[in-house]
Amino acid sequence: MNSQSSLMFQIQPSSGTPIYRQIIDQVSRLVISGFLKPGDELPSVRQAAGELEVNPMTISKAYSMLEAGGVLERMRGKGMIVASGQDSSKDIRKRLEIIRPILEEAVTQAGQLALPKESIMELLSELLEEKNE
Amino acid sequence: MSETVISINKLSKKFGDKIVLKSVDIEIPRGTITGLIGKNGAGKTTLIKCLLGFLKPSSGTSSMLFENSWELSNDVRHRIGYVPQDPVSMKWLKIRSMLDYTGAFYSNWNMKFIDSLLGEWDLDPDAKISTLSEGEKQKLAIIMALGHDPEVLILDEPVASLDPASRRYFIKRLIEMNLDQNKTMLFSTHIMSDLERIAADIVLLKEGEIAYKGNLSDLKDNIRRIHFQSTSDLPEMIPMNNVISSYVNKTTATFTVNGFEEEEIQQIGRDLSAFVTIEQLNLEEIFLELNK
Repeated sequence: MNSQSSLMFQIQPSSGTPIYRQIIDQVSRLVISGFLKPGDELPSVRQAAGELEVNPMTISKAYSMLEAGGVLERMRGKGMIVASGQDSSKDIRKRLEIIRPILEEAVTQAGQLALPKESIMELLSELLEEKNE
Repeated sequence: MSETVISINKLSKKFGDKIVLKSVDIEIPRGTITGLIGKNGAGKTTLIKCLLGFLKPSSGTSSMLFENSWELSNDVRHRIGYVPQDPVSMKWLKIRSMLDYTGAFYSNWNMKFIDSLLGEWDLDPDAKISTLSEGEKQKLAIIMALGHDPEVLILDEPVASLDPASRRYFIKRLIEMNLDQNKTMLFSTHIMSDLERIAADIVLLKEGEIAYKGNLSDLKDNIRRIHFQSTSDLPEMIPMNNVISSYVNKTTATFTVNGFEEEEIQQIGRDLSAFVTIEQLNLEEIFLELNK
C-alpha cells in the first residue's frame, strides 16, 4: 500500500488542545475505526510537518507517544507504521473507547442536572432508534 | 539533548533607573524553535539586542554559539541571522544593489535561495527601497537576514507587517529550514497563531521577568478555565489549587488554573451544588491570563 497523504490529519493550531494531542486522537481514531490497518505507513515527520506547517518536534512527539501506546511501530527505513495486532475493526470494546469521553461528559452533565438513570437510558435508546430508522 | 547554542544567565538590564530586564535565564538547544512573547515594553527587543551584543547587560551574561554576546567574533556573527523589528535600509538603493552590498560581507551568500524568496514574495529586484511598503521592507529584511544561510536565526517581530499569505509562506520556509538544516530559531511576535504552529517552546516576559518558560504543549495541557454556575450565591472562598486568576460574582465563579485534577474539580462542583464547565485555552487566551 502507498504511504498515506498527511492530509489524513487536520489540525487546528489555535485550539486549546495541543497539536500533538490532536494528532494522537486522530491517528488512534483512524486505526480503531479500521481506516488505517496494521502495516499501513504514516506520513514521515518531514512530510507531515511540511504539509501541516507545524514544528517537526510536535509531530515526533505525537508519533513517539503513539508508539509508546502500541498503536504505531517504528520500521527501519520506513518510518512509522500501524502496529500489528491493531486490527480492531472487529473489536467492539476498542471502538466503544472512542465514544467513551463523549459519554463520560454526558454522564457528568446528567449528574449536575440530577437526571435519573432511567430517563437517560430512555433518551439514549430513542436516539439510537431514530438513527436506525 | 542537543548542545545549547543560546545561553542567557541572570541577565539584567537597566536604562538609568529603569529596570528593563530582571535576572533572565534562558537556554536554547540547537535545532529548536522558541517563541518569545510579552506585551509591548516587556523587554523582548532589549533581550534580543543584549543577545546580539548591540547592548551591554547591566549584570549577568549571554552567549551565542559558545561566545560571549558582547565579544562575538566575526566568524560567529556570520553564523547568525537577525531580522530587526525596524529594518534600517539605504533607501536610495535598489533591492538588487542592497542584496549585493549585503552579500559582499559573506563568503556563502546564497543568491539562488534569495531569488526564490524574491519571486515568491513578488519583490522586483529593480524597485527602489524608498518605494517599498512596510510589508515589502520587512520581506527584504528577512531575505537579507537569511541570505548567508545562518545556523541561528533571531527574529524580532519579523511578520508584523506581512499579509496572512506571506506570513504563512514565511512560516513554511522556517519549518523547512529547521527540518533540513536543523537551524535554531528565536522568534518574537504578537501573532500567537504563528507561534502555535512553529514554536515548540515559549518564553513569556512580563515586566522584564520570565513569567513562563517551557513547552507550549505542556502549557496547553495544564491550563484550564473552570466555570462554576450555581442557583444560589457561591462562597467567597472556593478551595481551588494552582490558581492563576479568579473571579467570583454571586452565583458564578471562574478560575484559571495551571495544573488540575478533573475529579477534584467535579467534587468541588458537587460540594457547591454548582454546574461545572472546564474549558481549554489557546495561546492567545493563555497569554492574556498570564499577563493579568
